[in-house]
Amino acid sequence: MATLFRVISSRASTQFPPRPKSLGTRSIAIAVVLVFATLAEAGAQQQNEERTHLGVTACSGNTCHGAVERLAGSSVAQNEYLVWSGKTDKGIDKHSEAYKVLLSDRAKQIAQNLGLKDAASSKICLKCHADYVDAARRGPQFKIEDGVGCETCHGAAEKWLGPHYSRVPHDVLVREYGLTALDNPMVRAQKCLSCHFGDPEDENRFVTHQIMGAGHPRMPFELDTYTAAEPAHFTVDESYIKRKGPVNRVQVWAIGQATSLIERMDALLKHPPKGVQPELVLFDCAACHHTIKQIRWRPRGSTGLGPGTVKLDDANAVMLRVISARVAPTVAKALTERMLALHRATTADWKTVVREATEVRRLVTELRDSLSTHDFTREDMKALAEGVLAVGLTGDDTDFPGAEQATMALGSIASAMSSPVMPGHLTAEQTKAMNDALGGLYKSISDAETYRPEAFVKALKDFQKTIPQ
Amino acid sequence: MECLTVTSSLEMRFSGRANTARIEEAGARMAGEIISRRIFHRLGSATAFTLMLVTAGYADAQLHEEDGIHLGVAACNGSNCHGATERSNGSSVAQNEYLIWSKNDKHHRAYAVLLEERGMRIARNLGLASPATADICLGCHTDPCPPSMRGPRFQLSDGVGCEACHGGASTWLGVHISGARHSDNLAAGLYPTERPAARAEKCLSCHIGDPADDTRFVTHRIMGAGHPRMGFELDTYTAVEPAHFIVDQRYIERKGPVDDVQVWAVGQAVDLAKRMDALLESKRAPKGIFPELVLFDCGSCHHPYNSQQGEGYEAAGSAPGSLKLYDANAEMLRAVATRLAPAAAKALSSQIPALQRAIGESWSAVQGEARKMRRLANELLPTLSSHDFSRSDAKALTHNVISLGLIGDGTQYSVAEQATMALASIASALKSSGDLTKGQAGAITRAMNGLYGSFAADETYRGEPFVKALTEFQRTVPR
Repeated sequence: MATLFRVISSRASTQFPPRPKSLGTRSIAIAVVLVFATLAEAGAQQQNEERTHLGVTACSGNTCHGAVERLAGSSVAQNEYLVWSGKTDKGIDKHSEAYKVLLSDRAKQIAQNLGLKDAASSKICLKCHADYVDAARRGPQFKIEDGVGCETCHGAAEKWLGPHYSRVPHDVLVREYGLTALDNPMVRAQKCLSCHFGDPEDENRFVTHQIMGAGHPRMPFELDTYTAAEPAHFTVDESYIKRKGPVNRVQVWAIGQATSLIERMDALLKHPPKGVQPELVLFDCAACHHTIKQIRWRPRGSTGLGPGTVKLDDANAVMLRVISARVAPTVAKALTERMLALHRATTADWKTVVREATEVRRLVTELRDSLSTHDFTREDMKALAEGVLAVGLTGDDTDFPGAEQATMALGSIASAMSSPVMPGHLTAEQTKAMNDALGGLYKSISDAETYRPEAFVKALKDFQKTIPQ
Repeated sequence: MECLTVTSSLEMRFSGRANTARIEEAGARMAGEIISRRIFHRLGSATAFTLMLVTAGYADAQLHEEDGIHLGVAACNGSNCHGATERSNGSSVAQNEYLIWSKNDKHHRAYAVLLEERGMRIARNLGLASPATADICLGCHTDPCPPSMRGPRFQLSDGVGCEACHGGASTWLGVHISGARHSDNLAAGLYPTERPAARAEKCLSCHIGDPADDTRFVTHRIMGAGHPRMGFELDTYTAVEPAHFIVDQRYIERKGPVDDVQVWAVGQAVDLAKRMDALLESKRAPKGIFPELVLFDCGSCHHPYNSQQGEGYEAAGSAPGSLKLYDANAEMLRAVATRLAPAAAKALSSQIPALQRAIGESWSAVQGEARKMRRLANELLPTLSSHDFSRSDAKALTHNVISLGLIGDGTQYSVAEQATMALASIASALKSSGDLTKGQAGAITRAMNGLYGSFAADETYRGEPFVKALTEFQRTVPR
């Protein structure tokens, strides 16, 4: 987490072009288009899943995305491959090393604990640690060793590489040729989460508690923060906005939260208890993994759970409650009630869990639609920051995953508020003060094992002071 | 045999609703036999013969069936009874029992701690008005006899007093004061705490709890509210209480000799049987989508993220990331059976992983395996109660316990803890056998301290220092 913060704070200084006029209306229009476009894209995506992956080499040419210097007239920086492979000063994108870590001692240990011959040849590892496609779909230059390469996220290039190279517009590539619309927050969230949480539909692409127990590290995720920390190999400049529309980081955060919660509910529904234990990976790690003397339980109005119970990881739901309280108050009320019912269901029976998880899923899917069309203003951002702060400051949720999500949320909101494209954005001093306070927050959650809610609450108070009135 | 478990016998005794444990009587008869054989071994045949006559009477003693009125600590602590600073001539006990209890024994403070900060916090977390009036606390933090069974000087605030363990005194106090033989006291209703199996039941009725009694069972909910973890091993906990009895010639004459290894072994069997009782108790069945977590090994969940113990758990029969039932007693019992009853040891070796595997199947599978495990423990009990543990047994058991710690599973906290207490009991037996030189005894004590030091706090426990301390200990055991 500390590393993550360094990356994020270094990104905060990103230069933005002069803001376009009437951003608000424009972003709504774009969002609406995106929602409808998603349907058409889904079809194109489906087809694209059967096409051939050409490999990183197909993209990394020095006149394409592996250029040290941007060619005149290029709409992107062209150093995308260099960013991904760690050849710029931004620090390496770990996706490029995803396969390599399968050869580490830790991976060997995990494989051994799971009774696997070898991590680097096991489907359950490769499906997220590489661009895993069937042998028949690997082009001649495709290398599994490239790890999570271009086409893992952008989609098989077989059909779109030609049109892309010949400058067919972005939206056409998406609609007609199957390029993944990663500029659409929901599409990006689904793509990232298909590994960062796992694909509940694919048993080889889901980190179960068994894999965790064998030694796999914990996997926190927040769409906007992780996009920035990757580090992103795109710059939201005028040409980006012209081609793909503006980016509102608070919206990215909000849609990421909704998508995360939907995926969590899907995973819960897909994993009924085995024997006498449910799929523990869906629960708050810290509910169990604390020392015996350090009692973590505190009464929480939003779970209603008593001491000694194992709590579902509900950090995304808590964030969404804050978001919906601002954007869709009736949904906020329903979400609060449904989440309480879901927590209660875990102490009742599986049938009730299924019913309540289905309800939460339905509710959040509806909410996500309104988040995609909402124009997040400066006032919204302030209100959301205060909402996130209140969760911790009132003691409603200071559990570790909640603290972690709140910290990343405040990071996203701070970045959005300092974005020069936004009317009434923060001054340089205000941005600095907020970033400093953010450092304190990240520090308070830097180690899950020694995490103390008191330190987190103190950091929240410090952050609160930096929000301009 | 299976339906009349140690637990149910204890409960019957408390509620006075049925015939008291047939098991206890059987145990007493066996104890008679052990005593006679052991005494031959230790005291020479002439004395032993005399004693056999005495203990024969003891062994056949009828136990009083119904609990008497609890008269309170004040009935025992008179300065000429058990509250004396000096032993009077001819007394068969030290007479300072009350003083030891009231100065050094935590049982004395059992009620008082309820009102301290931690007790109050736990009560608050559980939504209780006060720990001092809540049955779920009082059931084990006091002598919990029903109000109708309390004498005029009985006080709940005395904590776990004399009669909580020795039984309501109204039926036996008169007989006892008149200088009766121990067997007469027992016949009048004194609880036979000197018998390892009976003592184990009594201690464990709180130190694990009675799973069928909601006022005497620490659930995971109570743990989650802040209750400390409860380790237990009969022989070690008897010694550290601290014991308010001394095993001298007079003790042996009245109650028979004491062998720490036997107390340990019997304690393990009763402990295991009681844990299986808890798995079989319908009140402890899974609620919602989780089982009653207090029956599981704390360390299988409460460890830092970064120190998974996949390998150890695999050896125990569970998959990585799976909950693991507490089975340290079964492991210890396996170590004992390897020496005394190889067939039972073999059965335990397959039953331990079978129980863990059942977690992945269903609760009824867990119960099926628990039933088999309980039968194994109960069947071993007579053997353990009657076996005369020799010096070579003690050494072989030391070896077996050490081997448990040195391979795989033994590095788990729960097993390390039981292994350490086991080695302490065996070491104590070796020392009291008089066969060790002063140097050997000193080395064992130092190695023992090293072992205890290696896992002083469960949160900082690491397998490696424990294994190192265990290896050190191994070197100190004479060949």
